[in-house]
Amino acid sequence: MRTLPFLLATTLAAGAVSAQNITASVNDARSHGTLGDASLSLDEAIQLANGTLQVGALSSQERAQLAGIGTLTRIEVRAATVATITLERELTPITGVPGGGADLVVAGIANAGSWPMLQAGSFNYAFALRTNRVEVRGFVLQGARVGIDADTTSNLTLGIYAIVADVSFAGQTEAGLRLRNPNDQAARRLLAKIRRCTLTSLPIGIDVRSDSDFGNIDLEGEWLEFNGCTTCVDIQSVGQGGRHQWQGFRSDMTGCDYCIRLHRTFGNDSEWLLRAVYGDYFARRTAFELEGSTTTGDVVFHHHQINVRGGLGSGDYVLWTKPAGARFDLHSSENVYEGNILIQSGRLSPRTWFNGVHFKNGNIAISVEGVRPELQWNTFTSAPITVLASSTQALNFVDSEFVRSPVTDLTRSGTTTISNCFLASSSTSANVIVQNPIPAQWVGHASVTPDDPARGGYVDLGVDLQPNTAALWWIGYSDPRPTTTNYPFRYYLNVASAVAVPTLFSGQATLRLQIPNQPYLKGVEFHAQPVVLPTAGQTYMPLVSLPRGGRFLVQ
Amino acid sequence: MRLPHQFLHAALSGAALSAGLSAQITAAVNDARSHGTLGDTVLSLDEAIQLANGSLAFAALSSQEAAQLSGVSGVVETIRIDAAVTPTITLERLLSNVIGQHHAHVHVAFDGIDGPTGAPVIDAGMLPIGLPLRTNHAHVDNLVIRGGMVGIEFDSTLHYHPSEFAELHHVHLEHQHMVGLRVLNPQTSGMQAPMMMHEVHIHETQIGIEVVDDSQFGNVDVSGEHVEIEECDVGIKVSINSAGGDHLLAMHHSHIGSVGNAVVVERVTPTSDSRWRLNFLHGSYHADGTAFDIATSTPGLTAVNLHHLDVRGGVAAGDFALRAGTAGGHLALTATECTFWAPASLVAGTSSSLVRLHNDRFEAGAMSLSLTDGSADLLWDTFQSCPITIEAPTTSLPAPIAFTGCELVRSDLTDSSTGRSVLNGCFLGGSVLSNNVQNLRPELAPWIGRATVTPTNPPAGTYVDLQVDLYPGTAAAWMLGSVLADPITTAIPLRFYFDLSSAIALPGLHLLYSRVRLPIPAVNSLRGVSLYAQAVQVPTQGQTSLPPVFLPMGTIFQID
Repeated sequence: MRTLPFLLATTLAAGAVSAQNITASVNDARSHGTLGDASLSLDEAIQLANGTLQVGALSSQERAQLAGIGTLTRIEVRAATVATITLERELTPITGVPGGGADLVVAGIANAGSWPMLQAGSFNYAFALRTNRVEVRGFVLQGARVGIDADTTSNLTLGIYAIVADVSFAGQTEAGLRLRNPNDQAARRLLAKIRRCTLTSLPIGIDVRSDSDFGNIDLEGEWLEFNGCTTCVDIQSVGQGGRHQWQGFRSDMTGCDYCIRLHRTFGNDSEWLLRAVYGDYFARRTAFELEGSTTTGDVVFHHHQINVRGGLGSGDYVLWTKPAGARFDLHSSENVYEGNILIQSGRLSPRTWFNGVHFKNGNIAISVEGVRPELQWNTFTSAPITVLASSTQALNFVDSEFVRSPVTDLTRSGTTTISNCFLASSSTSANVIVQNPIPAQWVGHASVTPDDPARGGYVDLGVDLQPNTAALWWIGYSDPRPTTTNYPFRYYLNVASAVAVPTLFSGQATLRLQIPNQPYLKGVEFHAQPVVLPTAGQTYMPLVSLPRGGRFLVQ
Repeated sequence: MRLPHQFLHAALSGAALSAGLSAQITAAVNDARSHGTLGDTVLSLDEAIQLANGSLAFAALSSQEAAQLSGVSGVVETIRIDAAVTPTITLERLLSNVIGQHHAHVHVAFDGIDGPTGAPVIDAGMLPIGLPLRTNHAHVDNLVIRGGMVGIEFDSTLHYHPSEFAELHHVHLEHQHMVGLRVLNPQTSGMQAPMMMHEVHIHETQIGIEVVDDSQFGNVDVSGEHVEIEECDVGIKVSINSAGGDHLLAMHHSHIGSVGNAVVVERVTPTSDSRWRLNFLHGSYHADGTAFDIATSTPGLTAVNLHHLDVRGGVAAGDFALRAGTAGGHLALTATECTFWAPASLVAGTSSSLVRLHNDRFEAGAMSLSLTDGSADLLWDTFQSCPITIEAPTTSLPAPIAFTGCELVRSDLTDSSTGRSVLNGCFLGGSVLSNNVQNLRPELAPWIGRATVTPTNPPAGTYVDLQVDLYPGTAAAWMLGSVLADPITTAIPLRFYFDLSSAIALPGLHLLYSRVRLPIPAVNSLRGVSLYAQAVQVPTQGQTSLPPVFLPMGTIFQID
C-alpha cells in the first residue's frame, strides 16, 4: 500500500472538511420512529439539525445515514427510499443550525418524477419553521391544519430568506402555508421566498398574519399555481406600523373565490406593498380585495401584465379597494380586467395610475380624492364607468377607447374629462367634458402562445391590429423583474439583448417563430413585444405604442 | 389538404365519366394576350374558350395553334394555362362567354398550372367581367383573376346541365372594382344557378360574393368551403327578388374579416315568396359594421342556420353581430355553438317562425327579441354584459320565450311585453329581471364551462394544448375525433361535430382551470388531418339541475 505524503493528506482532509457538512438521509417511513433503531427518521434528523439531539445518541445504523463532516446542514428524503412519511405526531419545529451559522436544507429527492409525501393527517402542521435560515424543497404535503407554519421566533438572521420550493400542498384544513409575525414581541420579521409550488383546493393557500407591531413581513412568490382555493393569499394586518410586502411573479391563481385579500383590524396603519407581475388571476368572487388604512400607511399595489377575472355577482370584483377614504397607491399597466371594479381612493392617496389596461364586461365605479389620476391608453369594452359622487379629484381619461361603455359622472359639478379618446356606443353624462374625440380605434392587441414552448418547437406571435396601423415584433430575454414604473413605456424584455423581427404585420396576423433545438435554450425565458406604428400619418395616436406582448419559457 | 365530400363525389363522378368516354382535348394557352390573332403562332385564351364552346372550328387554327391541342378526339374539355408560359394574361376585351357544348356532357375546365410566381393571372383591368361563366358545366382551378368590375360572373343562362355544379377551386379574386364573384339567376322560369367553391380567396373589392336571384320557381344552390373574404365593403350579399323555388347558400369552414358587413341578405321585394336556406358552419365572421344582416319576407321562409361560428360586429350604435328578420317576416333561425360579440336583434312574425339559440355565447352587446308569432327557445346560452330586451310586440307570442339553463351575467332582462318570457333553471349574476319575467327554479351557481384548443394548426411532432375552464362541481374529459363534414346540427340537446364512431376519449378527468398537452406524433400521414377536440363536461356532485352531459364548444385543429 502506498501512503500519501503527510502534507497532501492534510490538505485534502482540510478541503473535505471545509467543503462538506453533514447530510442526513432519512430512511424511516415513520416520522419519529424509535431513537436507536435501525433507521433514521425525519424527526431525528430535524433534532440533529436543531442541535437538540446528539449524534452519539444514534444507533450505528442511524449514524450510517449521516454523510460528511461538520454541521448537519442538509436533510434528504429520497422518494425511492421512503415514498411516504406518515406523521405519528407533530414534527419538531425546525429552529435551524444552532447559532444560525448556516442554512438548513430539507430536501425531498424525487423518484420517477414524484416527490416524497408527508402525510400529516389532522396534526397542526406538517413542517414548522421557526427560523428564516431554512429551505424546504421537493415535497408533497398532504393533510394537517397547515402545511408549513413559518415564523422566526427561534432564530432570525437579517438578509436571509427562508425558501419553500417545489412543494405541493393539498388537503390542509386551514392553509397551505402560514407565514406569521407573532405579537409576542415587537418588530418581528419574516422573510421568505416561495418558488414553484402548487396549492390546490385549500381554504387558504398562503395565510399571512402580521401581528407584531412595527414588524416586517417580506414575501416573494414565483411560479406558484393556486387552483381551487377559497382564498389564494390571505393577509391579515393586525400589528401596528411597519412595512410589509407580498410580491408575486409568474403565478396563477385560478378557480378560487378570492385571489389576494388584505384585511386590517380597525385602525391598523401598516404599510403594505402588493405586487403581481405576469399571471392569471381568475376569481369566482373578488380577485383583489384590498383594505387600506385611513391614517398613515399606504397600500401600494403594483400589478402588471396580468389577466384578471372577477366573479359574476354584483358584489364581486376584479379589484375592490376599501374603505372610502383609505390610502392607496394603485399602479396598473398592461393588464386585462374582466368584471366589476370599485376603486375608492382617499384624500391621502398618492397615485391612481392605469395605463394600457383592457377593461371589459364589468361595471367600473371610481372615487378619487387623492392625487389626480393618470388614465391613459386604456380600452373599455362593455365596461360602463361611474364616477362616484364622493370623487373630488379631476379624472382625465386620455388616449383611450370606450366601446359600449357609457361614462356617468355623479359628482355635483362634474370632474370628468375625456380627451383624445374614441367613443362608440358610449354616451356620457352631461357633466362629462369630451375633448377632441378621435375618429378611429388604434389600440392593438397581441398574443404569444404557448408560454412554455419546447425546444425544436415554436411559438406563435399574433397581432390583432386596427386599420392603418402596423406592428413589428421585438424579442429579447425576459426581464425577471421589469421596471414597471417606467413611463410611458415599460419594457418587459431586456432591451440590450433585444432583436427586431424585420417584418411588418397588419390586421390579424400570426408569426410562427421556430425555436432551435439547442440544449442551452432550456429554461431561457424570452419576451416578445409588438411595436405598433401608425401607417397613414394619423396624428391622433402615439407614434409608437407597445401593446402587451408575452413571455415564453423554453422547455 | 382535406377535400370535402362534395368535391370528392364530383371528382369521382368526373373520373368515371372520363373513363367511359374517349379522351377529350386539352388546349394549352400560350398567348399572353387574351384574344390574340386567329391563325397566328400562339393559342389565346379566348380562342380556347371558343373552341370549347364549339363556336370556333379546329380547322380555323394555324398549325402552331393546333399544336397546342392534345388529346385523341372529342371536344376541348380542358383549357390549360401554365404560369411558366403565360404568367399573366391581359384581357384586351371581354372574353367570350364560357358555354361549353350542350351535347358534350363534359365540364369546361380551366386548369391553371403554377409557375415561378405562382398561379397564372388573368388581368381584367377595367373591363366589366374577368371570366364570364354562362354554364354550370364549368370548372375553374388554380387561377388568379385580378381587376375587372366583376371577377367571375356566373349563370347558367346559355347552358344548363342538370345535376352539375360549376366549380371554383383554389381561385383568387382580387382587386375587382365591384364584385369578386357574381352569381346570377335571371328572371326566367325554373332558372338554376348551382355552384361550389373550395379554397376561394377574395379580397379588396366592394362585394366579395354577390348572389342576385330574380328567378321564377328557380333554384340557387351556392356552397363554399374554405372560402376567405377580406377587405371588402360587403363579404357576401344576397339580393332576393325571386318568386317561388328553394334556394341555398351554404358556407363551411369559411372566414370573412376586415369587411364593412360580412353577410347581407336583402329581400328586394317584400312579397317575394321564395324559400331561402342560409347555412353557415364552422368559421369566423368579423365585420366592422354588421356581421349577419338578414332580411325576411312574410310569404317566403328564410331559414338561417348558424353553427360553430365566431361572429363579431362593429362597435358603433347600429352595428350588430346578428340582425335577422323583418317585422311580420317568416324567420327560422337556429344558432348553436356560436359566439356573438356585439348586439343581436331578432324579429319574426309568422306562426311557423322559430328562433332557437342553443349553447351560444353572447358577449359585449345587447339582445333584442321581437316576435309577434311563432316560437323561441334558448337553451344553455351565456349572456355576458349583454342585456336582453323582450320587445313590446312580443305580447302576441302564443307561448312565452323560454330561457332554459342559461346564464345571465351583468345582463339584465327587461320584458317590455306582457310577460312573454320565462326563465327555467337559469343562473343570474349581477343581472336584474323586470317584474313580469317568470324565474323558475333559479340555478344558484354558474356551471357552463368553456374549452379552448391552441394552436389550431400544430405541426406534426409538436403538440396541442387542450384547456378547460370549469366551475366547481363539474369535471371534463376530452374526446378527439375526425371532423364531420356534415354534422347533424339539428340534434337536441347535444350536437357532435366529430365522428363519434372513430372518436377516442383521452384519459384524465379535468377540474377547474386546467390544461393537458397532447403530443402529436411526427408521422407524415398525419399532416393535413383535421381533428375535433371536444370537452365533455359532467356534474360531479350529483347536481340534478345540471345536464348529465354537456358539451362546451370544441375546436377543430389541423395538423400541419
